[in-house]
Amino acid sequence: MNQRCLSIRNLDICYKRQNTTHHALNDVSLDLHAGEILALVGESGSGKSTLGRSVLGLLPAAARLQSGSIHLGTKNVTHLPEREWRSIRGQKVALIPQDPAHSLDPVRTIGAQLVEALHPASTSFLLRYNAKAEAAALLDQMGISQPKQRLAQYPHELSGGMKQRVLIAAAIAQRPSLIVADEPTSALDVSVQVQIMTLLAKLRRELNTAILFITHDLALASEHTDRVAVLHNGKICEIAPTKQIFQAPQASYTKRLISDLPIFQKSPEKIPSSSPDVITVKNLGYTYAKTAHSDHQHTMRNLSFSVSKGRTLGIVGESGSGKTTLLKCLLGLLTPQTGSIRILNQYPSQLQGQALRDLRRKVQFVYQNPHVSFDPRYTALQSLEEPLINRGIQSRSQRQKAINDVLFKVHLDATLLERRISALSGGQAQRLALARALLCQPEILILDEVVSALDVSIQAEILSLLEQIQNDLKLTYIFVSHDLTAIKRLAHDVLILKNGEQVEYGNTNQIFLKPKNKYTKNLINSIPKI
Amino acid sequence: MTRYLFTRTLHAIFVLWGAFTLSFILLQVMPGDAVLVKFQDPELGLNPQQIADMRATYGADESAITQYIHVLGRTLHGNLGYSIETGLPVGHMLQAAYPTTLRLAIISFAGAIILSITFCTLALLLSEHVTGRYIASFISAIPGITSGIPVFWLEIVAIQLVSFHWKLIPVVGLSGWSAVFLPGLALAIPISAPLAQVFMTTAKRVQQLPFIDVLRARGLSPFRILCSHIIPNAFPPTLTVSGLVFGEILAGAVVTETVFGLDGLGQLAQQAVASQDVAVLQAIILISVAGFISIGLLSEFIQPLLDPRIGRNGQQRKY
Repeated sequence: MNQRCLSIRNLDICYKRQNTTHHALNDVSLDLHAGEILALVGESGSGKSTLGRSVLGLLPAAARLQSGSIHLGTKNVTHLPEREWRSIRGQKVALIPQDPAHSLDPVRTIGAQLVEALHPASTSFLLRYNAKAEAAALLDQMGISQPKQRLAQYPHELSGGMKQRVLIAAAIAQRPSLIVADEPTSALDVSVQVQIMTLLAKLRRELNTAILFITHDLALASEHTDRVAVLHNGKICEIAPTKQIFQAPQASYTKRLISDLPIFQKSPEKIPSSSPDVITVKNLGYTYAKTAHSDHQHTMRNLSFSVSKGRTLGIVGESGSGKTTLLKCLLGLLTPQTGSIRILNQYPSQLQGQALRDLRRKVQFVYQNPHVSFDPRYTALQSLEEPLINRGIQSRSQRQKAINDVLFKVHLDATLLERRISALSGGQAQRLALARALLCQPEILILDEVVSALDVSIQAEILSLLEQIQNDLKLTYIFVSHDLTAIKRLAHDVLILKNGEQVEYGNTNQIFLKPKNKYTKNLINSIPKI
Repeated sequence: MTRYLFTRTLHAIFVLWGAFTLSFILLQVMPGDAVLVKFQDPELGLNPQQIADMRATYGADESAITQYIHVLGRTLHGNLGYSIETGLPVGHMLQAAYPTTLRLAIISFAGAIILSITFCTLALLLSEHVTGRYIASFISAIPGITSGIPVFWLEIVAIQLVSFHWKLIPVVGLSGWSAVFLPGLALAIPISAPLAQVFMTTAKRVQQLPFIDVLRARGLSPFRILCSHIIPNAFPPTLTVSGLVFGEILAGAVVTETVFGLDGLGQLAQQAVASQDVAVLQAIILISVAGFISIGLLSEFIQPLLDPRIGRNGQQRKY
């Protein structure tokens, strides 16, 4: 149990680009023992991925290992040549990647890729043929049903969680003593996230493998891990047993991270529920036409809810639960097949022309990924001027005033206006998206996973900002998120969807305290507890 | 599937008809006609009255619409008409000429694919190496250069060197496959250039994809990753382009057959243009378009076999 798998001493890594040197890691030391899970927590740019890659010997060409040492077991791998790394990767140290959707070769079968992971150096056809049984056994161990049939399938035929299981199977194929799991669950649904974490915990028990678990999600690190290392600007600011980190954090940065976790924050401000309803949905249904190649028919059935002015409705659901269909119906992009939607005392399905455009202006949409929801060739200023020009504001000074007002509201600096969207950080870009939506003078904002692409501390800032704007402008929000803690923080009411049906709907606090439905219970139990 | 084949066949017929009509219009717009070209020769000593009679017998004096209907009806019955220049049935002339061009096309096409893939594999393998990187960047610049070399110049150089200087393959007195070997290879070089460029770009893009790093983390050698992952991923787009390259082969065949003195469709086309032999030209256009369509269909059928994402849930089978 106490055998040391990984020890890093005073590691310094920097990136050299043209004339600038960026220190990614600064004097980092840590140890990892067999059968231990160490969570490496840090925000984007903290150097956590660089650390993970250096353990695998897969540093980018621009990175320079300046000083320090890395030992895998007893072997010094600090300056190992590429050829020698090949016999270590897979056998001694393996990787579970971040994004299962893009981490499998799309044109090879699952079986072929697993066999390759089992015997990376062999070319013998017979050996590879016999390895099929081993591969099937691996899949079985991962809890994948019908493992023999899966071997003949291609990655695109599997779900995200299944792909991640295949990748974990490939990682443990050669029984490595150390696994680097680089954000293995960040691209997955919450309930799948829990399954994958349970699987990792099981593997570490059964195989006595050490796991370096890299994550940006502090809440996720609170479960299943033995110790937590907090990385900030390339330095480890705290490393301690998990319990101690959450109960008695020492470093000020850790304290701030923990206080930024939405779960510790107050609930949304009380709003009298007597105000008039601005959105009323009754028995809404939509069924997609069946296609020849898929027997699964996507449907959304019998949704009924209402949102009164100034309140926030949180919508929770996994992929395929009908969230997107519901949003499209609310935005008037899809016409509901059954039931009715009433927005601001109007029925969008009956409106046409100017009246419909007026209604659309009042219902604004903010998308999950701010960087792709802007025209990349526009500057921030151009992006903000567009809705004003569409509103018919011709005078430049009037537009300037409106933009300055809105920038003040979203706490964005006016000096950023000349930049293109790619030069803005995630938080800045999301604020800009919010500003653009506000310039349309909306009454309803539809927020689709607006914080899920952001770091925890930025998430907290954006959530507070959203609340403040809601109070100032008496806006109504539809807040879609898979993150239940964010929902709890912002939403007055919550609607839980599963397979296109409404599982539960009501006051957020009541549902979180006393969930009636089994699915809701599971969902709430899967929130990492601290 | 039947429905899919049916709609594809309808598309094909429509494209054939369109090509036929368009070529008819273009040939009508050209001043003069084949009869004039052949009989206006002063040495024949025919007077204008006699030439007008000749044009009447060939139907060249009728209105364009009447001629079009006549020619279209005839073609639909499988009769491609008679060559004005030689007086032979066009069908017979094509039958004699097509084997040479088909062989030439097969050799140059296969040669182009082999050439481009060998080149790219070599460049990709070398680029992994520290010093090989410079050779690799030199190699990957070659397609850009070869695509700019005129086919005829390359072929004349090939004859000079291979046949006259090194005396490896004679130019005259060959038949069948051996006659098209050298011309086919010479034609393959410029054709391989766009294939190599597409292959190279796709392969380099695949190299940047996240799953390549995952494979490296499993301890696979660069050679293994290249052969069993990068090349299979980069091949489908190359195949799509190779369908388009077929057009270049046809255009190249005209030049190549002229340079090497081969009796193929290209040679026939060149003579037919010179003598405004409308019937022959239209037949060649029809054949080329039919070839184009079948190559496109073929690559569309092979695509799902190479890339499982296409077809199984892609757009193709929606028909």
